[in-house]
Amino acid sequence: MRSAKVCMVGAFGVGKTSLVRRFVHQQFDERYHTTLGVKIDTKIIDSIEKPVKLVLWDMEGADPFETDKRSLSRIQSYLKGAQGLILVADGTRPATVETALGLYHDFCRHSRDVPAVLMANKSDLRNEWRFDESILPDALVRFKTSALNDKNVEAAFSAIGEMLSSL
Amino acid sequence: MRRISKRASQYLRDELLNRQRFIALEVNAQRKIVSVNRSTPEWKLPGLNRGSELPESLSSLVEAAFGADEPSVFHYVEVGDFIVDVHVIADATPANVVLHDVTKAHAIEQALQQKAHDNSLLSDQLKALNQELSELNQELVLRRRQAEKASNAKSRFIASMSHEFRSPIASIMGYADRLHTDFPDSEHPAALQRASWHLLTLVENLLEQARDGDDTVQLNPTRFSLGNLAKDIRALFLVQAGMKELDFAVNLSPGDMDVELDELRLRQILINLVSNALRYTQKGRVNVRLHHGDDTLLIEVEDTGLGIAEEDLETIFEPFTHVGGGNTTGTGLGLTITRQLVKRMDGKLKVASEPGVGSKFTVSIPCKQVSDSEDQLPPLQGSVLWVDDDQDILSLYEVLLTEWGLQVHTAGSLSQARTMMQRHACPVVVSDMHLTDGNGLDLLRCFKDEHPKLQAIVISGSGVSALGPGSSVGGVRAFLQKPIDPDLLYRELAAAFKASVNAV
Repeated sequence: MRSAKVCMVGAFGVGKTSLVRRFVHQQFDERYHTTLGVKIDTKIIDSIEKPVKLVLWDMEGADPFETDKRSLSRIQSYLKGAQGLILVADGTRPATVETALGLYHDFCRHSRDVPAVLMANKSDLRNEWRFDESILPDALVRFKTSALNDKNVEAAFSAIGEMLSSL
Repeated sequence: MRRISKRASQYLRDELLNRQRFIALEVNAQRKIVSVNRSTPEWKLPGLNRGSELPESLSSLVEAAFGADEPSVFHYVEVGDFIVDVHVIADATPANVVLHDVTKAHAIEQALQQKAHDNSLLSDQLKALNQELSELNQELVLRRRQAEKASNAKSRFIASMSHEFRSPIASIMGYADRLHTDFPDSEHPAALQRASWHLLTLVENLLEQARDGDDTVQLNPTRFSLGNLAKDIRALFLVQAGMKELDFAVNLSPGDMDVELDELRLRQILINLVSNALRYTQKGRVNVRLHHGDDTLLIEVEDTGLGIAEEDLETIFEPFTHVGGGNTTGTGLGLTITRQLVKRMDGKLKVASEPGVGSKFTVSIPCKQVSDSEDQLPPLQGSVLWVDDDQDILSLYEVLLTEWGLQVHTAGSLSQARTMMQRHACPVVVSDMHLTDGNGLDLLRCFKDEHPKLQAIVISGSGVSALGPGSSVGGVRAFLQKPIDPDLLYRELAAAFKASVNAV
């Protein structure tokens, strides 16, 4: 079975760890626990024609203003050799979409193009929802997800799995 | 940079190995662990045994670094319960992988990072809340503007309705007055007058309610006889009281006198209180007492009706309320309006009642008696232009003012008024405020520019003074409301002619 390194990228506090935790372990924790460094998990996507093992790199969140150079350096080292990207944004914080896109474009400038999907997370917060899709590249596949309600989480991970398995 | 000595280098290496925990692995091309060396024998990580396959997490790290000329370092990688820095030297096979335990350092940095991120997220929330607040404020401003617009539209509508009602009633009252002059022995003109007053108070009750506390409504104090008012109230309700076989009396003390008050509002108060008393009294009496003393007019309306329970004494002043289960005819606005009017006239309203015994409403309003000595009016002489789009009103005042000795010119529109003014250059102009083809105030302003000595009087049926408290409109010396009190009109005209002679 093919195995692929997929990095979860985005600003801090957008729910990267919660999404992986929901997808891999079917769990959710209400408390916010910031990630410093990286945690690697795996999960096989076998609902598709050619199953693929996702090696998910749950990376620390990026500082939108890139003031923490050590963090930026760590993120760049984690991204080496990534075969797929999951861009994660918080649908209630418009600036986090820009951060995710910034990381994506930065990655594409320094490496080859890889499959990517965008998860606009926290779709359960309907009253605070301010996700503007118009700034996204047309070709970028996007999902409105909720790690809390388990909404579209599996669909988004399966989508990146399908893209990778067809390569 | 100078290299440190071999001895020092060895010392530092020993110190580092003693103080820090490391695991060094050799990994072959198949990602199998060839050898394991530990700086601290008791520190073990799961799955790191000689001969076993490298765990998935570490394997993907080695994969990422494989073939690189320089060692790759991955900081803060979670492996089991530990956080390690992973150094991969993979320029040859077997590759060397060194795991450095940084769990403690990571915990300290993680705690700081957590605080920084928590603060940042709170700051974002604050910004979002501020944004929301700002949007709400903008919406509030918009809604307030809409409300003000609606309120202005409502005020205009009420003013217009008031004008529409007052004009024909004023005409009826004026002509009834003429009939009284022509047929002094007939009771019919007086009955017409009373009915008109009654109709006017009912209309005013409705408009007052629609105004809903709008304090731009101006009181219009005029001089009138309390004796005549008492007679009118008695005559107005005598038949109604008689049908129920009630004793009905209206007493005035210490005797007839002229006072200066808004007569229409006072009649409203009296008619509302008396009609209420008669409505809720089935047997016995209704007594009305008017007394003037100490610059105060005291009104008492006492009945032997149903009475009001103590818990209902406040409710009766709420609009559209009928209490006591008696006859529920009437608009249910009388007492609400009465209280508003008494308040506007700086007066007080009290009620005392006992169920089954009766009620007593007491109103006290500050009001001065007008003595006869102030009433030395000069004869009128000169020409006046009267502008009104109601032909009946024009005819009425043409007759009245001619009788008073004036030369009267009339105009039914702005254009006619301009022609008449060019032709006659009247020193005094009386104009209705709302004319079919424009505004009387604008007309008077225009005349004033051309004839600086002009004295102007504005008549309105809107019940709202366009002049407003504290404001002034050049050249407009008086603002009178329909129906116009003839005595007041006479006095204002006399003053206007006097001023026109004295004007420089």
